[in-house]
Amino acid sequence: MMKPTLLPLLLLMCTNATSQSKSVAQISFVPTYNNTPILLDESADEGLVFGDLTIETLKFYVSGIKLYQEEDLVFALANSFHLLDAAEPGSFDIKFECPDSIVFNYIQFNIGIDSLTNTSGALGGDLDPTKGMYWTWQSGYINFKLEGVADRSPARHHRFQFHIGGYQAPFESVQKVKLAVKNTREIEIQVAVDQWLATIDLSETYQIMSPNAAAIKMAQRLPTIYSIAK
Amino acid sequence: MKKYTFLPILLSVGCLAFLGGEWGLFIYPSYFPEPAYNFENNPLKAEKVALGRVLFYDPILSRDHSTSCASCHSPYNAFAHTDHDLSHGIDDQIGTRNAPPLFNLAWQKSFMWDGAINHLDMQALAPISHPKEMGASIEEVVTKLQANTTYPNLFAKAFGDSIVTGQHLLQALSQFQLTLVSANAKYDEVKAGLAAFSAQEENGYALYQRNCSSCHTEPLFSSYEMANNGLPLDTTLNDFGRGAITKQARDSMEFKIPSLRNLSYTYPYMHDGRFRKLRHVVQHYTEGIQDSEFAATDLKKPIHLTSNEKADLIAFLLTLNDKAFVFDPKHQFPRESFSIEK
Repeated sequence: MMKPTLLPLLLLMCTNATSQSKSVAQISFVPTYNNTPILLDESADEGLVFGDLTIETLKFYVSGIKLYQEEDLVFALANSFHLLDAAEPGSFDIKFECPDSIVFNYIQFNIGIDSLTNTSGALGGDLDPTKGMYWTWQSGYINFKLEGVADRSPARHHRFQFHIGGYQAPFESVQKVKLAVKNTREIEIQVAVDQWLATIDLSETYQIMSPNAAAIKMAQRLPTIYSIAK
Repeated sequence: MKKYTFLPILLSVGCLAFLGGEWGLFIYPSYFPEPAYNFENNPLKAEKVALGRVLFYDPILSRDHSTSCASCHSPYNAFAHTDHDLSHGIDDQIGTRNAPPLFNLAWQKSFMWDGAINHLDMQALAPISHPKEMGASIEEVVTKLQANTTYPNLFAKAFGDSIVTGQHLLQALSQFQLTLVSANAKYDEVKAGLAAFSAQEENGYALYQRNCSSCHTEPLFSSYEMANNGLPLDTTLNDFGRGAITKQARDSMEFKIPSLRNLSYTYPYMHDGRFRKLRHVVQHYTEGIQDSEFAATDLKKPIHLTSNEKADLIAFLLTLNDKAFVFDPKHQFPRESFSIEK
């Protein structure tokens, strides 16, 4: 069973080993609210205030980062599962070794975790279930988490909580994003959180914390808020 | 029972000892199917099993150090909780479901009565975090284990790293639970040619094959699929089982099919422990099925049994009791490890 699948893998490893010149590339995600970066480090202990809305938590997974030249896959990051947490600004910069010879004009990634990974048991690193992004009463990763307070939310203490996830049909929430990009080693991707919230009325929709139809609707609106920063 | 080991059964029918782990930790008879658990990602190792066993019996996993996994999953009850219809957790709270027995978990693809958990590794997250079970969180437990004087050492022995992680904690708990193989009942001895059924058991076996075996499939005595077995809704609980997870009407009142092994140790029965006696269970299947659109198709045709046949069926079911499993010292409280500081 193992041998036929191993062979191409070994060949690939060998060709990689024949000293291609590589340098460090970086993909930076910049979450913003009305174009102001959302940073929830110590300076924003009580959350970050934007008018009548406060953002307290913003965490999401990016996975499966790939670079394309038109339709051709030219580079795929190995073991690409990244938890981005506004409370840890360093987590927004994804650094990797990229062969200098590679030319690309598209970047593709997933917002969230694919279903195979969701069913693979206990995983480590950014996928460790201690990261606050794994449900307990029902298996599955939370792909995108946003929490805060808004005057117009009718919930207790005017809180709003969105834990968007789910890996099983018909509530599969992982989203693929493909963006046109210049062939550069420093890619910056803006995540306009305000645009996502603008698609709902917080006085009606303020709490989604399980895989269901409402979660899928919210998940499907996520790709539109990711764009290449000018 | 004289033999507390698989050996006679294994010698006579052949055995498979595992592929992905150290020899002897996970052994099952050749007439068992291939396990569903992917051992390649978590190969069994004696030190990991030992760590998992200590964790399983340690109330450090609960918020106030009162409740361990074994509190509701006792080895003497085939790792269920005899006499409790609904599980009994932290602060004397009562949950909404019956604690299921734990054995032959390596063959199961989903966990909990509603199948909400997709992998054995992830199962422990549910009771650890449930406010009526252990009332803690995995983050909190990892911090407590790291600060403990003994655990970092046990994690180092098991995983080569004294840093406690959620992944290693969950994998160790899986390792111990995977070793809970029950395959040494009279039924297994008969399969191995080491014993014979009585005439009554033989008749009960035929009745089982005719009426029960499509869901409670041999040799695990469950297909471990989900089914609606025609139980009327208990309106004090309003538990819709699988339907509440998938939000699909066709899954309403579906629960995971339990194994028929070790029934004498695991009463009361059903997801809410509503039946105290096996004869009540049999009576449900002969007279109590509530038909509905999504009831299991195998139950659409009524099951008729005379009172003698019911007695025969139960006599057969009792041959599925695995006393050697229930009293196996290597699954019990690890006395030697419990000088651990709390």
